[in-house]
This record gives sequence, structure tokens and C-alpha cells, in this order.
Amino acid sequence: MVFYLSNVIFAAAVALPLFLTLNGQIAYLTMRSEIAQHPSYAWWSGFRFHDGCLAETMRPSLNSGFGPMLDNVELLFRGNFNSFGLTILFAGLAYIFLMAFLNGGALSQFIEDRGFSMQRFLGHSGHYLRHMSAFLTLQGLVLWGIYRGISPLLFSMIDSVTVASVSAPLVWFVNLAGYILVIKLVFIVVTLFDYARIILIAEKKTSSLTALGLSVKFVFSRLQPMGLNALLAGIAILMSTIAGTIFSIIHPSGLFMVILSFLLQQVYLFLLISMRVACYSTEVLLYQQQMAENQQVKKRKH
Amino acid sequence: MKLKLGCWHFILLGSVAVNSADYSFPPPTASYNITAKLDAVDKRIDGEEEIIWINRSNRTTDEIYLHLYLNAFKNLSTTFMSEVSNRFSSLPDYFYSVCKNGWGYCDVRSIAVEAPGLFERMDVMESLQFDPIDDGNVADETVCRIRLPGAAAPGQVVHLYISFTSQLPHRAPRTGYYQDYLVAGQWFPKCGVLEEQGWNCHQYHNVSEFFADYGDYDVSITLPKNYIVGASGVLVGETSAGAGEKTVRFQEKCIHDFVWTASPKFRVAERTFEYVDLPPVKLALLYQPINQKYVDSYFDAAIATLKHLGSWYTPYPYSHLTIVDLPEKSNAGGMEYPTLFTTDVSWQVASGSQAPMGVTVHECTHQFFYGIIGNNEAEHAWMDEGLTVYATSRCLNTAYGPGNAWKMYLARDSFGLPTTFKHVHKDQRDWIVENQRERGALDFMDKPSWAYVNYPAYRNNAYEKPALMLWTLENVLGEPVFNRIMREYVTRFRFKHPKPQDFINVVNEFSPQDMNSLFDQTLHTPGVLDYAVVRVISQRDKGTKGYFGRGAELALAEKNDPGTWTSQVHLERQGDIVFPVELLITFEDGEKRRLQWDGKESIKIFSFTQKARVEKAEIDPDHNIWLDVDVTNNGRYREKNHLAAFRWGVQWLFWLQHLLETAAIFS
Ligand SMILES: [Zn+2]
Repeated sequence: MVFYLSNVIFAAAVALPLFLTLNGQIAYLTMRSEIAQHPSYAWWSGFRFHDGCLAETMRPSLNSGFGPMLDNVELLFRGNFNSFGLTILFAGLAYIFLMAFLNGGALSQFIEDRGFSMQRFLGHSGHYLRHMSAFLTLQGLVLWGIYRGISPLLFSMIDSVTVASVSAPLVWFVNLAGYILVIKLVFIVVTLFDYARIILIAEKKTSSLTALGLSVKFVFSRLQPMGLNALLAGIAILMSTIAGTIFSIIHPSGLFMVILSFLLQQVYLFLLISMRVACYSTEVLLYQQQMAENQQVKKRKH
Repeated sequence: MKLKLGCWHFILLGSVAVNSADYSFPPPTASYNITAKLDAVDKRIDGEEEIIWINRSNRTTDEIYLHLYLNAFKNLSTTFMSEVSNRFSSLPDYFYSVCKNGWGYCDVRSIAVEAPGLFERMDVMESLQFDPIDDGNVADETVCRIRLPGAAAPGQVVHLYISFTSQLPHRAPRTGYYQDYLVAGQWFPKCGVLEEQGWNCHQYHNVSEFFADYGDYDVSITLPKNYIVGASGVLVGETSAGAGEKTVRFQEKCIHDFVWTASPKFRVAERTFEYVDLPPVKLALLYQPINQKYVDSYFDAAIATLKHLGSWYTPYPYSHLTIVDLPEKSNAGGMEYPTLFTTDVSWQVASGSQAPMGVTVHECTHQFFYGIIGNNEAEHAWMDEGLTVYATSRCLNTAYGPGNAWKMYLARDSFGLPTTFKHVHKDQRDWIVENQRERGALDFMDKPSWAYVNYPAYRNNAYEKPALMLWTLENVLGEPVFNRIMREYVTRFRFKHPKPQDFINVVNEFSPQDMNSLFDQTLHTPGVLDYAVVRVISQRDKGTKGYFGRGAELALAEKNDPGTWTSQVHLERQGDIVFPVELLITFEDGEKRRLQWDGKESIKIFSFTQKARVEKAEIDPDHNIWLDVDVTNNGRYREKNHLAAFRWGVQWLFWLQHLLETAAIFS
């Protein structure tokens, strides 16, 4: 719930001014009913032109799944979040740091397994903030490296291989394989850092790097961590797909439908966030199980 | 009837006598007989040419100007290359490939002239001088002139005998090679155009295109046997040249350039265009094996163009048309040449988009506005590009209907991120209006291409603003009238070099109102057109009080009618362009009233006092004025409604939440 509320508050902080701008722009227009029906290109491009960066972020695109997210990330990278956009950028960074802060608390809760107490939750959050921030920065750097270094390299290789190709579907699939490879890499990085956080807290390590090293050893020495994350990612994708299908069926043109779709969207987001938190708890569980097994194996050897 | 090219009085007088059913070609001005040999390894061409030039101006000349276009790629200091770095915010791909040992040049080895009845054949190589006529850049060798041993009077025939070596540049725009695909465009020394004011022979600039006289071409090319060749004109012979080589010979009458393309990898498909009483045209498509699935699309698009433009304006006059599908990476892109055009398609076409039909129809339309109408592309780019954009859109709409929403999966944008699909309906004209909004105020249309400060300004004035102006004219004058204008313009200036005023004259001849003001405001001054309804308000009629009447009837009185309202509609002209507009007022009781406003004032208020209040007001309700850069401010209600904002506000909240949450996965 804490996670969900902070999500709503952060998003609303930016969405509200947009709503007000929008309202000032279109409440009187004769085009408003057309706009309410579907995104009108003529209106949108004009709006974007007059209102600049903030409107720039609102692209009429697929209204579910990761489509809008990617669109917006793309804009972020293009630097199209200018003045107003800086607010969004800072809100986003602040949000991620807040999540890093809360992660520490959540993970210790799961590791201690003693029932929830807000006091301890926040206490642990504070205690591990330093490490969590370090992980966050490092992970950010690694992902940036993939985005700026490995990914372009991979795709330029793909281009040079496919340039002489005679089959269009083949080219498409090679590109698809390229994307899958990059996603797989990102996935591995995320898994590694997840376990590094768990190890740091569970083993009471003081060095983030040691924890990361142990995590590499842990993740690569067995199949389960990746398997578990793949399973969780699969569930998340399934959820997004179902939600996406529902959202594309609902055509929010009347007031009632707008409210209905708003509620459904919020339920979906709540589930998605719960999913992420549940993901930490299962990861912790897996780690503890594996460690317990390890110890038994060691004992038997003695 | 003999016409003197460049003499506008002659052309206008002469045109009256031109029968629109007369499809014969006028006599040639500059004809070329060329024999060339390709070095397929170095992509170098050795050529011998004979130019038969006839002085069809009424000016005597003792010199001849020649274009050596390929010298644009000779080194970094040429006008073309230095303009690249000044005009683009990020350097185009071809700049790097040319610089990376992909240089090109056209080297004249010898030149001789002969004029029957005036002077014998004589070597004039010594007199050759480069003439950077536009910018004085001495490093630019794209224009040269030679001195004639005697002065050529009007009507004089001059033969030029030139030996030259042309090196094709690597992946350059409009010409060059890529792997074993090559497009030899602007590859031979070519005459400028002698006009009343003198020689018109501009340097090869980065954004400007070409201008040449019509003539007959006879070109023989020797190259490896396994090369498949496409060229301007008709293949009239193919003979073996020994040692794995062959010689192909092409001929065509009344064209103003000659291009050829070759690759061992091309595949060939053929069709014949036939449509009621239009003359049949043999179509050849040279395509890359990977684009097999687009073969039908290419042909369909070319056939649609020949059919529609042929019926609307004038039949395609040549017997043959070659479509060349080049690798996307060749940078040749879509480009028009006489009886041949290049086009391309990405391996990843957005479903629902009109690729590759859009670019194919555009280049094929150039067969009319470039091929048949030979305006000066360098000085008045809007006359070929603008008219082509206009006619392309009309053709695409007729043949394929309006554009669809674009869907793109796994496309990569310049940032390497996968773009998702854009889920919106976007008319083909929408993007033009969008660009016009952003750069419409940059410069004006009647300017040489190279004189624009940057590429967007050129793009706007060569392509976008003229197209919007033409659509506006079509809507305002009505399709039948505008179609007659276009037909008359094409008929009158077939195989001639019209200037902007020629087009304007035809428009004014057929238009019920004088259109000079619109042309003035788009051709000679920068600015955009934007009209807006900024306020709609209503107040209960306050009535009146005071003394009324005279003499015995003079008395204090208070008169009011509680059922009467005074409504005001405030209009604004937010752009520089003045254009008369129509206003549609809808009253609460359903009454609709149409009013005219000359659009001159910057603010205008219309008042209405009646029982019903104004419900909404709309400027240009039929959406005729395509030049209007913002149609969303064209209509306004008196009362507000928050639903649309609420819907998109909520949607955006969700997108943002989703964005934050996705980012949190990495926290
Ligand atoms: Zn064009």
C-alpha cells in the first residue's frame, strides 16, 4: 500500500498540471467531442506545439502495456522533458530513490519474518539506504552501458549481417533475436542486483561490492534464481497482456466509461506493484531455502 | 512551330496555337550522343560525347557553359560538401561515406567544338575555365565555360566533342554506388541553358536540383555481361563487347537528362500500362531480391500515377518507364530522372502506412512535374516539388484512400530504442500541416534552393507550403476549376521552362477572383496562416431606459425584453497571411448562419442580438483552407465541457504511474 500510494502521489503531482493545461485548452473547443472519442492527430500536434514539453510527453499511443511507457522513456532520453519536464525527471529520480529506500525496509521485513511493524520497516529502510542507493547507482550505470554500448554494437552487427539478406522475415527475426538478447541481458543484471540486496541484508554484509560478488556466485551457480525471475516476469507480462486487452476493449468516451477505466487501471497498477513486492519476498524465500540446503549438504560432507 | 526557349512573350503567344491533342515533341535544343565504358571495380566511367546544341535564344553567344556535377564530390572544399556542414544540424550519412574514400569527380580530358557554317572543328581545351557563378568558391569545379572561336547567333548549331572520365561517389545522394549497385546520375558534362539574361548554369549545391534543355539522347554503355541495366529511354540494342563485356544502347527523344543504373543483383519484372485512350507504356521494375513482395505495390503505384495524372493533366508521352528499387543504404533514395525513377522501401514497413506507394507515386509524379514540365529546379524548386506533393496526394487519395494509422513493431529510431506503435489516424497531409506550423514562417517560396538558411527552410518552401497553398486553392476554387487550371498549365508548358508568373497567370485566367494576394503572401513574404475563434459570450439584453418620445409623448420609460440575448463572437488573425474566411454560427435553437470575413483585421467581433444565444462559432467550417496551421482553434463553444480533458488527464496519470512503476523494477 505504501508503494502504491507513493506511486499515485508522484504521478498525480505531474498529471494534475497537465489536466489543468488540457482543460484550459480544450474545454471550449468544438473539437472536444472528437478529442474525447479518440486522440485527434491534428489537435495533439497543435497542442504539443503550443504547450511544449509537458504536452510532448503525452503521446497518443497504445493505452496499455509498455507502449506508453517506452514512448515516454524515449522522450526522456531525447531531452524533450524541458522546463516542466525537469519536474518529471526529478519526480522520477526521487521516486526511484524512494523505492530504493522502501526496498531496504521491505527486504529486511521478509528476511526477519517477524510480522509487520511500520517502525521497524522505516528503521531498516533508513539503515540500508546507503547501500540501496549504491546498488541503484551501480545498476543504473550498468544498464546505461548496455543501452549506449552493447545494444548499439549488437544492432550495428545485425545490420551488417542482414544487409545482404534476401529474406525480409529473416531480417525481422534477427532483429527480434537482438532485442530478446538485450532484454535477457537486462534481466540478468536486474536479477543479480536483486540478490545482491538480499545477500547484503541477510548476511549482514557491510560492503555492497562483496554482496554483489556473492550474488554473482549465487545466481550463476544454480538455475533457480533465474528461473524464478523468469516465472515472475512471465506472470507480469501475462497480467499486462490481459489488462491491455481489457483496456483496448473499453472505449472511454462517456463519463461513466472514463471512471470505469480509471478504476480498472488503478486496480491493475495496484496488482502490478503488489507483484513487485511479492517478487522480493519470493526471492528472499528462495535465497533462504537454497542457503539452508547448502548448509545441509556441507554438514553431510563433514 | 518553332519556339524560342527562354523568350516568354514568344511562349505565351505561341501557346495559344498549341493544340492540347498535339502530343508531338518540339525540336531538340541540346542533344547528346554518348559512348561510355564502365570500370566495374573502381566504379569509374570513361566517356566520349557529342553534344549538338542549338542556340534557340535570341541572344548571340561566344561561350558555352557546362555542368560538371560530379565534381561536387571531388573534395571537402566544394560548394556541395561545405554546404552540407552548414545546413544540417547533424551531418547526413552520405557526408561520411563520401569522405571515407568515396570521392567522385568528372574530369574533362579534351574538348573540341565545331559550328557548321561558322567554324571548323577546333580544340578549345585551353579556353576551359571553372566559373563558380553563384558563390565564387574557387574550389568548386561544378560549372565551367569554354570560349567559342566565333559567336553563335540565334539558330546556330554548335557541336561539342568531349572526352571525360567520371568517378562515381560512394553512397552519395542522387548518384553514386553502393556495393555493386550503381546509379549514374549527372555523370556526363552537360550544357547549361541559354536564356534572355544569359547562361543559366548554377553550381551543384547541396539541396538544389537541376535544369536543362530538352533534346534527343543516344547513349551506349559498355559494362560486364552480368550487369542488369536500366536507363532513361528505350533499349535499342545489346551487343557483345568481348572479354565478358557487353554494350547496351539506349535512345530517347525530348528528355532533359540521362541516367543509368546497373547491378548484377537486380531482378527484373515487367508490365504494360494500358488505360482507355491513354497511350500504352511499357513498365520495367529493377528490384532487389529481398523486395520481391513489393513488386506489385511498385507497379500498382506507378500505374495509378500514369492513369490519374494522365487523365487529369496530360498523357505520359514516352513509351517506356523504368522503376528502380535500390538498397535503402545506398542513400540514393527516391529520385526522379527522365523516364526512370528510383525508390526504396525499408525492410520494416509500418503496417497501414503507404510505403512504398507514397514515395513511388511521388517520384512517378515527377515524370510530369520535372519530366514534362521542365521548370528550373534550382531557382524555383516549389514548381516541381510543390506541384508534385500536391498531385501525389491527390493521386494517393484517389487510388488508395486517405492514409491509415501507422503501426510499427520493433522499428528502431535514432536513439536505438524500440518505438512502439502510434495509435492515431494521421492523414497524409497532417504531417505537412504540422511541419508548416513549426517552420512555416521560415523564409518564402520564391528563392533559389541554395539561398535558404537551412534545410527545414528549404523543405518548407519547396515542398510543404506550396502544397498547402495548392490544396487551399483547389478547395476554394473548387476541384473542377482547379483541375482545368492544372490541365491548362501542363498543356501550355509541356517541354518548356515555365516560371512562377506563368503558373500564376494560368490560375488568374481561370479563377473567378484574383489570386495575386495569396501568391504574393506565400511566394514573396514569410509567414503562416492561422485564424481563430477566441471567445464566444452571451449576455441577457440589458434593454434601455431614459426619456423617449417628443412633445406630449415625452416620458421616462424603461424598455427591455427579458427573452433577448446579445452574443459576441471574437475572432483573431494569428498569422501573417490574410485570406478571406467563412464563419458558421450555430444558435441554441438550431439556426445556422454563414458569414464572410475578409480576414484583414487582426481582431474582429461579430455581435448577434436575438432570442437564442450563440452555441458555437466555427471559422472555415468546411476545412478548405489547408494553409491554416492550427485547425483546433477554428471552432469554439460558448460553454465548457471537461470530459475530453478528464479522459486524457486520467489516461496520462495512468501512463505516468506505469512509467514510474516500470522504472522501479530497477530500483
Ligand atoms: Zn520530389
